[in-house]
Amino acid sequence: MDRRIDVAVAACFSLLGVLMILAASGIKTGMMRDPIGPRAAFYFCGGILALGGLSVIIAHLRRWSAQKDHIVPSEGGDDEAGFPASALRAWALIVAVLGLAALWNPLGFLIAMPLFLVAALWIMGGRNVWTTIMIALLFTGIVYLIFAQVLGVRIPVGPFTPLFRSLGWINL
Amino acid sequence: MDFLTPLLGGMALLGDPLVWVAVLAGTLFGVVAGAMPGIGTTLAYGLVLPFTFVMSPIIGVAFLLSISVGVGYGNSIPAILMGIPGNPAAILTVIDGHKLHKEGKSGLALGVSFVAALGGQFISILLFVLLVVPLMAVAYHFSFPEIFGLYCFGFIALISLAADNLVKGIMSAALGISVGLIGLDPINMVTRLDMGFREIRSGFDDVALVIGILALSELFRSARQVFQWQDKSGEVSGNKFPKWAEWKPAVPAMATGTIVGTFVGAIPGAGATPAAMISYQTAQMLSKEPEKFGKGSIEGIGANEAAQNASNSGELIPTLGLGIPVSGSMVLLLAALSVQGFVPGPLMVKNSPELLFAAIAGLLASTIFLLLTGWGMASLMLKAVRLNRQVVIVLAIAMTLVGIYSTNTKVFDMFVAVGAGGVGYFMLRYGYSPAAAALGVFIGKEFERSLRIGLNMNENSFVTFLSRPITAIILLVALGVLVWGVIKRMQMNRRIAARAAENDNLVV
Repeated sequence: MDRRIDVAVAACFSLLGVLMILAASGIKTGMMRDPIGPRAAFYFCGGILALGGLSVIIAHLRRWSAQKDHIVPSEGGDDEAGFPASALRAWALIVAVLGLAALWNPLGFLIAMPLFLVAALWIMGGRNVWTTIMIALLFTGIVYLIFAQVLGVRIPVGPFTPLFRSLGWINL
Repeated sequence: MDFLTPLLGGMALLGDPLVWVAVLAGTLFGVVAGAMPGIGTTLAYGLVLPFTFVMSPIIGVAFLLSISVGVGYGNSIPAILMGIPGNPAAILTVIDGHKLHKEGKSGLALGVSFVAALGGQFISILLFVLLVVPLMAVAYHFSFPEIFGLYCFGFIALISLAADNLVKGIMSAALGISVGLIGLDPINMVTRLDMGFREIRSGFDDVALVIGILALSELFRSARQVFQWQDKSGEVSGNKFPKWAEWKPAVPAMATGTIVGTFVGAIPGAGATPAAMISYQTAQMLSKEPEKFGKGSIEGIGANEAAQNASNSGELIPTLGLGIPVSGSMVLLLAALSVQGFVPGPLMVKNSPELLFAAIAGLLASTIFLLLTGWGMASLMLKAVRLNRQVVIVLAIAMTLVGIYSTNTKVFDMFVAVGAGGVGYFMLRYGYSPAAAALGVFIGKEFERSLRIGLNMNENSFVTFLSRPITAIILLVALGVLVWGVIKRMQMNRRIAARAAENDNLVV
């Protein structure tokens, strides 16, 4: 893992801890009093995050000059050896997932989901257009049938709402 | 409740055809999921959790537990034939099993794995019932201070689940606890840290948070690389089930694995991987041929496979007996029950014994199902490994999101899950424990609630609160387990490093 990113992640945790403590100081105490109070848990957790993050940063900085390379032995989940890894691909996928959530209501499941699947498969290296489209349409259709029609989950269908309502498929 | 009641109750449920349908579906899904590298029990639970919301609690519990059994067996086939461990617990199976496969003894390795997995699972069900019944008997004596003691016990899991870096593990737990506490204060009912967002005035949805942290994070991490699982070849044709005389020497190791697996599985934070490691080590110490371990030992495979499956039953002891989840998958099991209206805690199974019966029915039925069909499933599992990895990842993400939406039909929950998944991705990459964070989300609020309400009930005095006999005993036991766990963790880390070095040599 890259120790610079590890330090940045630890700094984020530390900052989060400080912000948590500050935000917790504004929690109303209420009428009922107890020795712990509503703020204590956040002070405690915020303190752990702030001090823990700081200790990770200090541990890295103390060893910084001893090693020139920024890649240090991983403390987390390693990538599979022998295959190139791309953080950009993972983040592109996360953005695509956020896009799916954002379009879920306006476009409806039947449009948003195939769009997401095509985009996600493309991000993951799928370049066979027809296979990708077939997977997207089949998956969307099957999942919609199972969840909306069999399990009765109210899944939004966007512009298809009037049509589905007139067909009696949904009662929204 | 006596020892036989849960067993008879579980067997009575086997008369319900719906239980069998759920178990067959769950076992098959578990076997296929287990065969795919990177998909362990927790992720498999995450993928199917929404389906359990529309099932009755009995069917849902049986369905989920049959998945555990399927995953425990499913990960052994690609481990033996392809040298691909489905999850960390199967690494030891790779070392001995793949070695035997290369020597042309695939049938022997697969046969021992089959007998050990199912034998270990079956015996551990009996041990589970034997241990959970006394726990339920004392549950009625528990008030808030005692429940606080139990949650302290649960917190040991948070520490034990820490990865290589203990500081990062504790930070992960703190993050999970604080996010889980956002919402209403349990005493005054004032909102805490909602930052003015109406959607989180009552807190985040536990299921969305936990699935995001545990399942989406792993899928996002997997998306970093593009490759196919089947790059290593495996064959199952021509392998016959070994004769009794061939696998008889592995039986004592299987028995050791079953006992160790059940007990280690019950320890908060331990789970299948430490259970497998400790069993392997114990079997090696007791073996007449310890030098064969790591070089194609059927005793090694037997101990490891029996322990992995036995830990399924072990994890259920504190989860159902006390309402304390001890692993990521058990957090999801309790999350599923929470959605169904059950309140996790020591009285959950006491008040609803049908949950215990359902757990036994699920474990028993899936074991019977695998006994009848498991040997023939090797080809199915190899086909699972040959699925396009990238398509599986994308569809799994899509399925998880549909599931999260289905819980409350709220798009906001999808954003929460994706956010948690993004944070979990960084945690996975940089040595913070998503499992500890997920457990923190789940037990943090009950920990605080039992402490503060318990203090209120005991004149706001810590001395009165902590000196209640059962509370004091639980806290002392928790402290003992913590010390023991830290020592064992250090020993296991050393063993994992040694085994990984051996495995690298084997692959090369």
